[in-house]
Amino acid sequence: MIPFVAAVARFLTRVAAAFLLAMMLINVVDVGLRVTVNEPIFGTYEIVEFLLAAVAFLAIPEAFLRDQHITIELIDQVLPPRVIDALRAFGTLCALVFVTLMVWHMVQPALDYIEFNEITMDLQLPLIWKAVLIMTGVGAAVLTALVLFVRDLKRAFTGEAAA
Amino acid sequence: MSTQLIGAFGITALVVLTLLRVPLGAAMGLVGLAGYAAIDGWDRAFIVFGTTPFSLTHYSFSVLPLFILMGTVATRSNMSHELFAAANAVFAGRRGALPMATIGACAGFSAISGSSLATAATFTQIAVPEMRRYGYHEQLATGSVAAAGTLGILIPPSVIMVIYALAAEESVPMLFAAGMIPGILLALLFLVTVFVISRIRPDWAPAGPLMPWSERVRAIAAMWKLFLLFGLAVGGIYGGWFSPTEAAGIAAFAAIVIAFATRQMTWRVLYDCVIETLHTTAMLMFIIVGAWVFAYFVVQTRLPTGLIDLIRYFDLAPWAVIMMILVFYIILGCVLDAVAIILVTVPVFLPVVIALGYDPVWYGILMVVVVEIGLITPPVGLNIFVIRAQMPDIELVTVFKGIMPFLVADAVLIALLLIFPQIALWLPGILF
Repeated sequence: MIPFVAAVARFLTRVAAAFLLAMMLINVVDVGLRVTVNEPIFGTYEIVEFLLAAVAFLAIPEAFLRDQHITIELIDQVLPPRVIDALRAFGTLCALVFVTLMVWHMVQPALDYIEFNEITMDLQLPLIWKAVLIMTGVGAAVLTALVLFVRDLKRAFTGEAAA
Repeated sequence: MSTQLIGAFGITALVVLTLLRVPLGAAMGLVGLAGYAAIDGWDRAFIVFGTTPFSLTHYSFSVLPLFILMGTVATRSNMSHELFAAANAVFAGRRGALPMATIGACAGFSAISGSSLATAATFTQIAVPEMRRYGYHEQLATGSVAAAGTLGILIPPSVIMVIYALAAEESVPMLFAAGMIPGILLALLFLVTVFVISRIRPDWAPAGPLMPWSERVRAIAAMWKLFLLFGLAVGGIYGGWFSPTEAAGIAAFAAIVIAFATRQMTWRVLYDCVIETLHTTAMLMFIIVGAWVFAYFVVQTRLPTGLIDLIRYFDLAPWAVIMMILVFYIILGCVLDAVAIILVTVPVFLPVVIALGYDPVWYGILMVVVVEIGLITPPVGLNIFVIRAQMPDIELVTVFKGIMPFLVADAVLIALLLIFPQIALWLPGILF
């Protein structure tokens, strides 16, 4: 399970990488055109916001897998390792509940985007595209959090890292 | 139960969950959700919860990943080595030259990085071995690197300032301008600290070899990359050429081009920089999502209004309130990291500070200075752990002792900012 989830997380991060470079380049080209021929790219703001949806959310699953989320580890020095393992599992469970609730309650606003055909002002891009990018990132974070929770739970009970 | 009591319970729950190792973003988000539901019902709470991520793709947030990318590229393309050589050329031959060069180089690096941890990590590798080679005391060597690393979040562009600006709905360019003079002032105070230590304990800071002028000029001339990137990133904003996002995009692009042109970058390293940027951005966004939900809850609690009423009831002087907030921040800085402190406390304290008649930009700078002290004080002091991780043979106590004199410099800057708010507000006043 972990290799599959890791592969999905890695793939999403690679997609986000392409979006990040695109975000950088569109700013460069937009300013370049504005300065040289006074013809900036129409709707840059909206394009950047769409790219940001991918850049900000698609790498969350891999950041989860790499344990990069900020956790305060003050009590590690005073508690035995087994208790810390149990707390780690509890922390992962909280993260799992958080992202699961979030993606679940993002469904209705996303459906509203479709139902009311919500689009951006300038380029008339459907807002559902942005919602799909964000929900893909948070949805995949549910998968990774679930895998990590099972791993942490096993570790808490057996004292060993799960495979 | 009153909404303010629910707010107090919520904050207590957040502290408990955080201490129980719950990831910060999840802790803030879950407490925010439950607290909002306790006040306004689950239906409304879930609507706020589900729509929060959509609202965080606003254009203004795009400045974050682009500035992080610029800093990552600058860190990975050896610009730090050239900066250290240039700063060393300025101070060469003096007693305490290498710690002074470290502070100068960190100040310069802060102008293209924006992260304290990246600054401290980079210069631990460059400066500490050099200082040890020349017989500097380990306390001075590590203390100067840890302290100078904190300049990363004060001298613009600064990721922490961007986060404050987003949370407080303040202007990023105004905050960047406000941080410039305090940042330079703090660098100068750190230099004075090294000078004083070198006078009191000359055996801690031996005088290094003199450097010929031709060599000095060559080393200083190599700083053109720094000036170009800083000019694009910060100068472009104030020249009215770019928005902060455009400036960040162009500076990141320029950093990549310069790194390739000077053969300090390969495609593989660029790939690593992009992936590192994404992981950092994702980590920040996860916290920001939780913090936004928490902030909605704090607004519902009317906790800031309660605090203001309390201040009026006790007839507290505004400066006394600010002092209390500062002490609270310093304590908080010992257990929480900078991003968390800003995101958790801005919704609670900023309305109070504004109601007392203080400027939110000035408060932002004061907050950044206080928060950066948390980076070098136990037990969380992340800069110290960064140094320790790279120099495992140096005792943690040695680093903490080394930091102490530099904390005095921080205290002096805080006092100056309190007495003369214009230190922060003069430059934005001229530019805007």
